[in-house]
Amino acid sequence: MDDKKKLDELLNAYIDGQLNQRRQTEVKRLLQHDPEIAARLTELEKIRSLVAAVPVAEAPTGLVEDIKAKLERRSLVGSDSEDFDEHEGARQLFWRRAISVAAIVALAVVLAGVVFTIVGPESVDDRQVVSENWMNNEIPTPNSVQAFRERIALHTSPEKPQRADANVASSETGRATAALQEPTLPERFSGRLELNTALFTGVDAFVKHALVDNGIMLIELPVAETEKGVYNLRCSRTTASVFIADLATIWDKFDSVTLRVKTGEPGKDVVVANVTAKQINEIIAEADIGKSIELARNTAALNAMTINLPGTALAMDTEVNLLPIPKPVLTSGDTAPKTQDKVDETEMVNLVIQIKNTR
Amino acid sequence: MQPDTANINISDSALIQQCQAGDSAALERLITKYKDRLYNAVLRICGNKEDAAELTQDAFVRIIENLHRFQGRSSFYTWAFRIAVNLTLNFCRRRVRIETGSLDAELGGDSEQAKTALRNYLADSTVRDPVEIAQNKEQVDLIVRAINNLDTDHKAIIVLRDIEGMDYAQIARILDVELGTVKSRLARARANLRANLEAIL
Repeated sequence: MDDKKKLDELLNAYIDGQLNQRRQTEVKRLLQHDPEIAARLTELEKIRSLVAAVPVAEAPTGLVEDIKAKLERRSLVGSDSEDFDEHEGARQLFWRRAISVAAIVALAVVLAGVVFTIVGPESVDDRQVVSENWMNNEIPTPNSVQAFRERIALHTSPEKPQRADANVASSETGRATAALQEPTLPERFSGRLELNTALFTGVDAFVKHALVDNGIMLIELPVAETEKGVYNLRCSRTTASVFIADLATIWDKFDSVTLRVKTGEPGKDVVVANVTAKQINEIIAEADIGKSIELARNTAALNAMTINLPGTALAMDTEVNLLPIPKPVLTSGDTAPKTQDKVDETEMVNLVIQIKNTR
Repeated sequence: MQPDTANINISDSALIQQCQAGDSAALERLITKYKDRLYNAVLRICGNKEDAAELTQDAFVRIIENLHRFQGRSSFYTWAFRIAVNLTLNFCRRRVRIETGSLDAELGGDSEQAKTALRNYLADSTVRDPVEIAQNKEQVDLIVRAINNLDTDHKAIIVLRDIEGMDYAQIARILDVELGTVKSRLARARANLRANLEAIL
């Protein structure tokens, strides 16, 4: 069987003119001495010729105008062009290096925070400030060292703001105040989904399309995370559910998927390893954030227990392949195109999608 | 590393420079030059005229929007195909299943005469030139139906090799796979295509 496959590959390469001189001579000798191989070669040549005989279909008339109109619309909307250049590999390498540097700096900042907590003049829980950066998807960068200092300065300021305003994401004052409060549950579901795959390019392109198709708004990532394959989503729970359902169609392309659900307590995120699309949607769909976190904890425990049981892989495959996640259906007869949902804050979710290349 | 200028088709290179300088007439010429080839490849992979038209538009939009990034390290033709083919493959993978029934309904090729002619062509080890088949719409439709019934990845590789005539290295760059994968996938694709044809006939 294997020999037959190898022979087919050799014969195909021969008829396609993809062999070097030595291999060509070998194949010619084979063909002269073995009529069966010669017959197989003829079969393959015929298949190739049949496909080549299919006439070229002409593009529909008006295609050029349609393209121009589409370009105009996009320039009016100001949509970002997608990245399709030849330096993808080099850029990924650059970003990997940049991320490594950023990670070292981040570690230094965290350590500085810890040292400051121990030896500093006040017993402010600085770790919470750093953690809050992470909650807002900001990995500390060299520039953030100054910002960190300023936040600490705010803590010691006599005029401390009276109320945390989580909605004002860019407000330094609000953040500093929030950091002073006791750990509380996040206002909305907030988490990070790590998709580990050897098919980075394909998965990345799929995710981009799914985001666009579902009209999901992306929040600008901090500098340290503007690498390829990281997307910061803000959308309604329903839209997130549809997006996850889209992802479920390529779940078999992932080596593993991990969901990290933020609990509002520094260092106590719930990590759900080997999570399935169905489990993610169940967690996101919970009526309030407390229940989401509780379900995430239970799911994490369940997955940890079942991962080594016989038949686990089969069960996961079954879930993905045989029980596809139904997409929410509009029942009001509203057939309007998908747009960014306008819903109240508790209905919104924050989700960072990170595609990790395992190749 | 310097761009491999030998890879740049001179007329393409001039056109692209004009496009990058904002010459809309050059842009139109570039689209006109490649629209049929891109559309044909996309159509043969996705198997549906409406989807193919839409995907070709999207591919050109992306090509034009990213034209400033193109530096001629590969040929424009390979670069443009990479965008169009990957866009189409992603679309096809997302689509639950190609409705082969409706595709078949669009095609003819059900006449016994056409089937007999193709059967004879495949069975006769002496006949190699399919010129007569290419001129018979019903026979072409049968071949297209057999292509449509292939897996998306197999369709793509058949289209790039046997319709576009690309070499294995170009195909590997476009599909972002190893050269060995191109060889094995193409061998499987042709074997499956023959099996599909035999099933139809």
